[in-house]
Amino acid sequence: MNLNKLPAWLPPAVAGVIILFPAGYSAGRFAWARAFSFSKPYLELPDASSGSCVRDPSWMRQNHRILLRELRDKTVREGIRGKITLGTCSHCHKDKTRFCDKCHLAVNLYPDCFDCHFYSTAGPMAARLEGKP
Amino acid sequence: MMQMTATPIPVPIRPDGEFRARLIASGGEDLKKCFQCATCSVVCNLSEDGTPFPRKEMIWAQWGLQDRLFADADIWLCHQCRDCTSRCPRGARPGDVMAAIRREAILHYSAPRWMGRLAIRPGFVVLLLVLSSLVLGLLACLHGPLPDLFRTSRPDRIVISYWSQLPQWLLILFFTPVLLLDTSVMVLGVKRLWHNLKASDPEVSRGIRAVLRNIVLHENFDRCVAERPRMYSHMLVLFGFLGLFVVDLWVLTARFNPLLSNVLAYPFNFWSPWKILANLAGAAILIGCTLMVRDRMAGTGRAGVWFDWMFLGLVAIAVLTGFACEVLHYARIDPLRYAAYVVHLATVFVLLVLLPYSKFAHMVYRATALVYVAHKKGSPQGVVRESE
Repeated sequence: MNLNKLPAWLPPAVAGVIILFPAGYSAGRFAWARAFSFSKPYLELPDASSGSCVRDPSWMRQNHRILLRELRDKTVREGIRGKITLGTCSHCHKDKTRFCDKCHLAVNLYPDCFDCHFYSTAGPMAARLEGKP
Repeated sequence: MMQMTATPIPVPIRPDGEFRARLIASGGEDLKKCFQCATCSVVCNLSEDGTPFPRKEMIWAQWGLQDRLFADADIWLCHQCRDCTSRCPRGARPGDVMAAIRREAILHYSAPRWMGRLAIRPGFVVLLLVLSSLVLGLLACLHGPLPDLFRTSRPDRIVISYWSQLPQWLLILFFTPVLLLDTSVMVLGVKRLWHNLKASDPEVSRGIRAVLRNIVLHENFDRCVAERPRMYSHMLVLFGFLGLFVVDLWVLTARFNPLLSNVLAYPFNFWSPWKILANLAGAAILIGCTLMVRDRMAGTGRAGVWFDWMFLGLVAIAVLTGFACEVLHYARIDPLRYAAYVVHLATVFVLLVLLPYSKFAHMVYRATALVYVAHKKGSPQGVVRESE
């Protein structure tokens, strides 16, 4: 390719379009959401009656995966089944698709835990895991 | 009209051998070969009729007249396309001498000057890089999980840090002072340069618009002949930097940006336009840096001194470790991705600390000189003439 034949304005123009596109896209999306009031809740938050989370919510936001991994190791490898299980989560966060998946899908995160494990929604499974009748 | 800026009253000239020795040491080895034939000024496409260069700079450099060189706008108009170097009958390499003069000018206008003198020592920069990596790494490992200091600003925004041990608010508090310091040092340098250029006329807005146009379109680079393709490597790096700067602004303001319609502000989806821009910009810088390294290693130019390599090297390390972070993150390789992150942050830190003392500073000084010349001449050098 002979670069000397390339008009000098072309690369800056292409770069300008690429650099400005995300800002334009975000502004457009914002205007669109404003105009058609698409403001559905992003995360389905548990109602106030469910009580507090097992850890500080802002810590959970970043580190729930650490907690889940610790629980897994304790349960599966050391055989210590504590009070907190996945079932405990599902008491308040009833629908995985409207809570967990929201962020995971948004950042291309596909945890494979639930390919095998069932995220029960406060049903008999969860109760049994917690030792209740 | 090949005349030096004539001084009617005879002024005693005191040659500064020490300054000349510094120029020779920092890439101007062939300075003394010049016998003032002025071929360089004639072949230079960037040089204008009234004040041609680089012949006059060559003799000023031979005499070590640093005051004249530092007050000379023309050293910044040179883009080192080596049109002069390739035609010089004596092999005096005026392009390299001009680069050495600019290097000394950056160190001269930087403050504090001892920082600039330290920055040109490889050992100091390596030490700084290792030390800041260690400090950041230890800082992250020593403390437990940190509370989110900015939580109160927007409780409905979710920002997940790359590493919760080095949360975003900590990094913002860490890097902002450095950026402010950089800005003040460079503003000070530009003020001193402007003062030396003896232009205190406030009406420069026309010049500024034209110069911005020149910088974006690379109009001066476009006039180079011998190494015109250098324009494209420069474009890749400059526009890559611009792209990353825009993405950084978006991420850093994510907590209070009213235009953000997502609750999850950070991280991005891989296919989010912002992430695509960041990846493209990083790739552009990497390709641009590779082309620059190739040009420097090729026969046409000199390999250059440490000063030339420092900025390029730090930028390359920053981009490479940035991509390493991304890949290791997607591969979920946990301890290693944190190590890469720490090295990445430390490199960016060193890059920011050394910004006013490195080749990056050409950005502000060259822009200042271009504005000055554009303003002084009306039909400016640095501005494409309307008829073209």
